[in-house]
Amino acid sequence: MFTNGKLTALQTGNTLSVLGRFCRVLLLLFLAQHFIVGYVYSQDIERQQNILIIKSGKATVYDKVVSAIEHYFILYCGNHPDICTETDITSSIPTDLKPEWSGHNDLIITLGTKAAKFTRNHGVSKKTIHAMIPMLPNRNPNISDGIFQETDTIYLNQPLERSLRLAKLSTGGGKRIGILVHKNNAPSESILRRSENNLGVTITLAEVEDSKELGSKLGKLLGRSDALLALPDANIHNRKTISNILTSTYRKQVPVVGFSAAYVKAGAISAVHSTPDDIARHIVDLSTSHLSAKNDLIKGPKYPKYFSVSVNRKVARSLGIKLPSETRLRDQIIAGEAP
Amino acid sequence: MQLLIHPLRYRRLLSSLVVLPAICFQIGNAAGSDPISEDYFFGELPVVLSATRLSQSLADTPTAMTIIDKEMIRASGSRNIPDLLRLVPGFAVGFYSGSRATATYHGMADQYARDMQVLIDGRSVYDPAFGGVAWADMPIEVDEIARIEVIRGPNAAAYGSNSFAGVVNIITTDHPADRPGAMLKTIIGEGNARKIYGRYADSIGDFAYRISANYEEYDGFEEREDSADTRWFNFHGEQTLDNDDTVEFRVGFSRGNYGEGWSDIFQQTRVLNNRYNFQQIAWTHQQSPSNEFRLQFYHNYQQIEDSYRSPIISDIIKGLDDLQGFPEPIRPDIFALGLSGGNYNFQMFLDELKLTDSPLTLSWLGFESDRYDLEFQQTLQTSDNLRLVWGAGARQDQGKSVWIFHQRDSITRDQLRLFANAEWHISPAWVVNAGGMVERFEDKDPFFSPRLAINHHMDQHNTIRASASRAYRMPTLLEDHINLVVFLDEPLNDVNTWVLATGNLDPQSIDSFELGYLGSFPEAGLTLDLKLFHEKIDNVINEFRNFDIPDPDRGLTDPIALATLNNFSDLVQEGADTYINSGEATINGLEVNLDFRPTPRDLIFLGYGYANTYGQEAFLILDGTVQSRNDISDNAASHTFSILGSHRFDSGIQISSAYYYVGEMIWGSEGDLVPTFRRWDVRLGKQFTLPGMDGEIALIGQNLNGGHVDFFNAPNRDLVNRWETRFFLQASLGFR
Repeated sequence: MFTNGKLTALQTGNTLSVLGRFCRVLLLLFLAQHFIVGYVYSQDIERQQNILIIKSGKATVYDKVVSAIEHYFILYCGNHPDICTETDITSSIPTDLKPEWSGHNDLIITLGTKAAKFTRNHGVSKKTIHAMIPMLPNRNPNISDGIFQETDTIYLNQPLERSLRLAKLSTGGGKRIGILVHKNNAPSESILRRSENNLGVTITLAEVEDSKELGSKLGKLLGRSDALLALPDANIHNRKTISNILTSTYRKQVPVVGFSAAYVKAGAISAVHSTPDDIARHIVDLSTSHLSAKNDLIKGPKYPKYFSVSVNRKVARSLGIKLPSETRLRDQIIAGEAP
Repeated sequence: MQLLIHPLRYRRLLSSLVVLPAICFQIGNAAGSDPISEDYFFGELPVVLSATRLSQSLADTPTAMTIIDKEMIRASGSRNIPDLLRLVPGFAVGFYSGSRATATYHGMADQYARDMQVLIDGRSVYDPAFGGVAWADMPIEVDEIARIEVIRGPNAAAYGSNSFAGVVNIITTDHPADRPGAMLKTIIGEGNARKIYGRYADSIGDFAYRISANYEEYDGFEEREDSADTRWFNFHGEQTLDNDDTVEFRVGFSRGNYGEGWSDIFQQTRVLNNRYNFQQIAWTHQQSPSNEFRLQFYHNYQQIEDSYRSPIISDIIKGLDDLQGFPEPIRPDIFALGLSGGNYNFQMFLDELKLTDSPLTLSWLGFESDRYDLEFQQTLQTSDNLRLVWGAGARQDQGKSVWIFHQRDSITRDQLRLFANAEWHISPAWVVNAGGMVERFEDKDPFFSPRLAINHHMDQHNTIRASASRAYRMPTLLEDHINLVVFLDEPLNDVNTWVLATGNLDPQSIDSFELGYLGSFPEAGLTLDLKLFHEKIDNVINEFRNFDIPDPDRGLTDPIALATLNNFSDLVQEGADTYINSGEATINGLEVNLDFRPTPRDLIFLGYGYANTYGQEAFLILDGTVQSRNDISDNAASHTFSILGSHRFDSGIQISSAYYYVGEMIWGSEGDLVPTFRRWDVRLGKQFTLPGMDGEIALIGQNLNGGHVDFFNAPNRDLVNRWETRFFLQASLGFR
């Protein structure tokens, strides 16, 4: 019918009609092109994407990450219909996996060290993302544990400088950051000095070897610190010690910057940490890279791309430290990290 | 030299709400290479600093405060707590003997500063019988103190009656397991100063403890027989039951011998034997991060053994100045004839008056007192903007002394109390503190002590506050019940009434209004607090001589015998001292409190107080009416000033110096008009570290401008407390 019209218009020589028909042709061409391209794409991902998430245990935190991953996949696919049409996400703990689990997946995501090691033990390493991997403070991410070296790995730990930035922001104007570490887990001198230069802070490191030293080392450290930065190290910060660490620091009016939301709830002034939501976003970012690209991206361990800041307002108020909102603190840290 | 700003030092906190939990430090794994699980990042932790345990920021506190922290304690070189309080603006400290002191805010105190509340770790150490605090008997060493928070002004809304002029809140240092290991400290110095102090702290599982013991002796003032020796023991234990429950135990006792008296027939030199002990237990339960309960019980016991026996009556008579012209053997007869209008010789005098030729006995200070106190408290953070503390308590005070109360049984007084205080952040710029306490004392009308304060944060650094409060001071057991009698030979054989309570006294009240400014400049390490105040004290409980009070009649009926007895009694003392509510005082003034720490090595603290005091109290009552009144404007110093400076060198050497000034003032009761007090102290210390131990040696020079007078200034009584320059050498060693 359009074709007929076009011909008619050309035949009659009516200028307006010619323009109108010209537009219709353009529309036709556009629709046709769209149809063809869409067909080609749908051909490409017509098959269903199977994603298997292996959890290290039954803790609710894994389920939270799984449901956040599902959520972000839906969001992502909604915005990128050209890349994904249907994604089938299943999650399981290792013991509940079917024998053929490793066979039919486009991507395997492991949550936690136990799950990562499980896949490794079964020789699965391709198209795999390891997330929620705790790293000891002394490990340089570039030379870290071999099993994660060749795989996309997302640490639970925040980069030292990120934590230091928050510590600096949490002192209420001070620049002296104290860190209490186990002797075997001390960050390297070069990393510390580089951070000092980048951030304009003074870092005092107190190394503890034996439990008897903890109190006295902490006491001395607090005398030279405007904030105590707690790095994830179960030898120093554990359920038994944080009570004394927090009360000692509080008595000396030195804020503690923690590494988890629980630490903030317990009495630290603030913490930079990745929530299940942050972790899931990072995983989905990496997953979509895997799914959309033919070639594997840069492999290896990474610090969390997304993070949150928690603040204990009550502690801040008692210490007389005024802190901006959590979002603003995060923005300030992001701004500081920008190259 | 590092020139790092030290912004946190300036933040000083009100710890009224701080409760310290307890568990020991335990490192999970000595190897230090344990892999951590994901749960480490997401697992729950016990809430340590719940909203309820947190203290107020200085900028949010309703009253002016002075904080004396460890740095200041060390720099001051003070060997005892009263000396530390000299730093506080408006404070006057008087040593009535070389080791025993009284400390008061805005004056108007004697040996027993009855208008000051003093708390050690939440335990009121105010003595219920005499009032005031027996500082020397407290089993506490300055090295154990983390902080002294002095609330300059009434705070009965939070701490109850007797938090009248001010509150001294002493928080002992370090959780038991904070500084595990042993520590030894010794002092030797002029005035035969000797001291040895030791402590040990450790933990067993979830139980952490610290024990400490002390012995010291000091000769005191050169011109007084006031040598003292004290020994004490202290135990502090904390048991963590679980994440939410902690139980604290504290026990201490002390014994001390203190030289007392002067050349007065009834105040001759003697030695007081003091005993003190306390037991405290507190259970803290944390329902949630914003809801905490605390239940505390404590008992304080104080005993002072002090009874004085004069020479026998005939020997007293033989020593009287007026009779020295007569031969010694007949002096008693002449005395008896004179008193009886020529009717009796000495033997008849004794017989007719039912006397024996025995010593007169009395005690100025001998008593026992107990305080039992139970308190429940709940602290709630109902929202981000509102924090609430409420609680209820019950207390029984007991006093026992046949000397003071003229009975062998204890006198008791019960108290019930209910209190609530709220901190409401209306907006980031405005904070309201409102609270009050209702107290009901046995045999007294209930009364309410309210407080309202508004703080306005003009910006991050500047805060203005306005506050109003009312507080009461309960009469002590002594003021309400004293019946101090001079006995013949044995108690209850009455000869002369010396001091007699004449009525059920009302509490003395204070209305206080304060305008304050707090500047906090962390970048400069500076905190400045200014306070303008107006205080009005009414119903002053006031001691005066009432000549209308009769002396005991010893069951006599014969008029000559009665008249003779009356003459004899008047010779001992005419009338009797007593207490009534009579008098008022107004104090207007301003105070400056400056804390400047430009670097972690430098410290300057400055306190200045100006007080314009006026008012009057009853001085003489005859025939039931007040015959004359006493102007009390000199009972407080117009100006007080203190400055403390310290610098620590890279070498670990620290030099510090303090200067204290208190203007001329009159100390109450037996105290005297004391001229302007100026004292200059210097301390030179060197810290060192040896393998496995830390230590410090310090040379302390006190009263370098020696010669100033303290509390007693009565050359006619041979009673002048004069401080001389004295040097002390202090050494301490801590074993890790």
